[in-house]
Amino acid sequence: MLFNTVQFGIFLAVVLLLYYNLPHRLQNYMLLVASAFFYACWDYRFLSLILISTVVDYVVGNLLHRADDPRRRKLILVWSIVFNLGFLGFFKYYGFFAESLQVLLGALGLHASLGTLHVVLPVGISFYTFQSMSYTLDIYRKELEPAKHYLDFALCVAFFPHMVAGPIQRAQSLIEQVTHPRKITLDGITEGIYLILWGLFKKMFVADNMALITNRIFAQQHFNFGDVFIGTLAFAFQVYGDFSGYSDIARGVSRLMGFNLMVNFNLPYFATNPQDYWRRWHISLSTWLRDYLYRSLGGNRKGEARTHINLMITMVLGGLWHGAAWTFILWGAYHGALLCLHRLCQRNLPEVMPRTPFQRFAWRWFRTACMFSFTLYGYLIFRAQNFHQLTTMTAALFSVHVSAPALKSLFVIAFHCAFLLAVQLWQLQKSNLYAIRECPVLVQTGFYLCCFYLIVVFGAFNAQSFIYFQF
Amino acid sequence: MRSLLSIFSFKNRNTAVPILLAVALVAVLETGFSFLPQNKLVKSLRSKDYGQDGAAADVEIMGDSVAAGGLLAGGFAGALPSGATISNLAMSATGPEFPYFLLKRQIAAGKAPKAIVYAPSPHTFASLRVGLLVSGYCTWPEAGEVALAGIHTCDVVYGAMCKVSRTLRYREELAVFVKGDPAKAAEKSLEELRKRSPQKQQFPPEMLPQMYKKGFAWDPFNLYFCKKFLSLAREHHIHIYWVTMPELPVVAESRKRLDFDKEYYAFLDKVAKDYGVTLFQKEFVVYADEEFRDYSHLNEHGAERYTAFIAGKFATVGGLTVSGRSSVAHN
Repeated sequence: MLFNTVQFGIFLAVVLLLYYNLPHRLQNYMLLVASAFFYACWDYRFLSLILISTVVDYVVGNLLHRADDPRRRKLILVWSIVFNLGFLGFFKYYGFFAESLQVLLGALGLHASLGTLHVVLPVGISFYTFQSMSYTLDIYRKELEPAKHYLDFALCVAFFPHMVAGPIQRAQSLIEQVTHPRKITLDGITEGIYLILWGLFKKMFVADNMALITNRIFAQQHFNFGDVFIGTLAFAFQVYGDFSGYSDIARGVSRLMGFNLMVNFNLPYFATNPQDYWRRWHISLSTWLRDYLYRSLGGNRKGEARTHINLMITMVLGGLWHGAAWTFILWGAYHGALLCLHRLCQRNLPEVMPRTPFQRFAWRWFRTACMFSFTLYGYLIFRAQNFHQLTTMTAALFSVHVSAPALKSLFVIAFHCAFLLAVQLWQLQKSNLYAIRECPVLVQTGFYLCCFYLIVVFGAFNAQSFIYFQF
Repeated sequence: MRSLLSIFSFKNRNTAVPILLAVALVAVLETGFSFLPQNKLVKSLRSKDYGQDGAAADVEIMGDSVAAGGLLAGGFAGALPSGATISNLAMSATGPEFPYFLLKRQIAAGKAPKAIVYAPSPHTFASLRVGLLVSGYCTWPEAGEVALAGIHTCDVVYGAMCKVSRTLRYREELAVFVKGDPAKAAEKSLEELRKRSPQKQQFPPEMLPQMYKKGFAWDPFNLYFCKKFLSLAREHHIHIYWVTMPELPVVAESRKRLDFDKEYYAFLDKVAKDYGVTLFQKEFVVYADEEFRDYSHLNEHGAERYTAFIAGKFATVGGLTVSGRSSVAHN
């Protein structure tokens, strides 16, 4: 059940109707049943995976809380991590690694048949596994008390707005909200409506229309500079509109029920450097990786060389999290290298100090343009179907030729992204993602009308699945 | 009054009022738009208004765009019993659900045909047009019947929304106005490909539409209404002659690879057995590129040729048996 379908609209209306008429505990039970139904609409067989995962992590959480011996605690934690990542590895990575190993052994002249499993990837497994893991990791670090009731914890993991594509909510913040009665306020409801409409706009008006250009160009056999540039630019807006749109709708739906989910995107294409980019893009994943992986590896506390190694490991694994393909690993390594390079530059080059306001303005936008160009090349790696396509498209970047259809596509991109960029520039100017909601009444009304009619007239209605579901 | 006027104040930053105001404005705009004329597609669907405007034809050609342009009613004149009339009521962009409602209306008006030449494209059974059916063709009670079928209920809801909103109905035209016609763009790239093609093929395999790259399939909604259509015809003793329309060589090749023909013929055999339909032309006939205007539709010459072929078959086989009145065949 996709957020941008009539089915979801009906489902949400029923859930809200029940929700507003039930007391707190019953609200939780109803939400759990609704979440199970929501997930079952994808594939009811994999509900058992969520059940097993949550039962195991709930038990592990309680065991960790009771255990005092550090060695015993570590053992329990390792067992829990192996279990969680084992699940993820089996469903998501087994085929990939088995195939890669077979190719490697074949290249060495050895022939081994590791067998391939044709396992369907359960929707959102990477998201709910990470979410569930954060619970045990926080208890291990003594930053969180275990949930008193299993059903509360299960709801935290399986809460339908964020279950299949995040934001990867920290257990700490969500358990607090699940166990205490939520406040429904008029401001919360209007915020929810704003987020849902803005999310639908990003998904249906921007992302799904960009997908038409991206799919067409990436299906070609021959490329020129124009094709590669336009295809990658369209993909940048597609992936942003798709994923941030999903996050906005998830947050909006949660706000209608009094929940608060974390902000997942903060104008990432206006980032001025790689570090800034990762503070703005998929914030829930980047902070998860920072807190539970990068810092566990030692972070920046063990010298400069180790910091760079830790950054690379974190980003490569972050890339692998997105999917079982070498292009994702390369994409992670590319961003890891950008982060390392940026760190080296920061440490070894003198800081540029623009004096006049114009210089400051020019310097800020120059850095944004540079970072956006690096991001675009990253997307080429991310979207390429294989290494051959990646090298062909990279080579095409050096052929200075722009075809007429490419120019036409540029107009389509401009048409579909102009309103988004105008709103975001306003948000950036005000340093406030809710800047629109703080505008005068008539400006807000104009905003809602524009979003609504652009979706209705130009939005893609053939419900394209969200890209991040596959991760 | 003062608080009402405060929406014009730049100091008023209320967050609830803009949403209510936007909803009210949408209601006002949509009411205003409802005075706009219907869009082209809906107009064309409604122009085939049940065949009730004049006398009922004895034989009706039904189906989708492939039949609308591919079987010329005038060409059947010689094949019909003396005085019998024929008209082509096939509608573009439709599936088997449309002929069902068309026939139902004709029966209710006492103007049902005596026989139907049904010539749908086999792909019509796979594609969905629930929204179009409900918004552009059905009356509200008919929309209720579609909803009661319990298949693709959300599409029925969407169709009902389109029925109310002219903006939703005009969205295709508005998109074409702003972004250009994708059909024209496809035609242009086909032209370019033709120029590059060494065989100078009019319809090269590179541009073969996606639907021809899939095996024969049907959506439960289409199948449900197809069965209803055939049952309704049988109940009223209206005989159905099923005609399969010609295909391009490139399409035939693709279908052969996919075992499409085999599955489609099996489907037709079952339909014939269950509903007493006559499979008048079961097999696909392959026509050359010159007989087509695109990958699916015959051009004028192709239509004349195929109509003559089917009409000739009727004349020799003596398939069409209707008690005719004295009238002229019309298209």
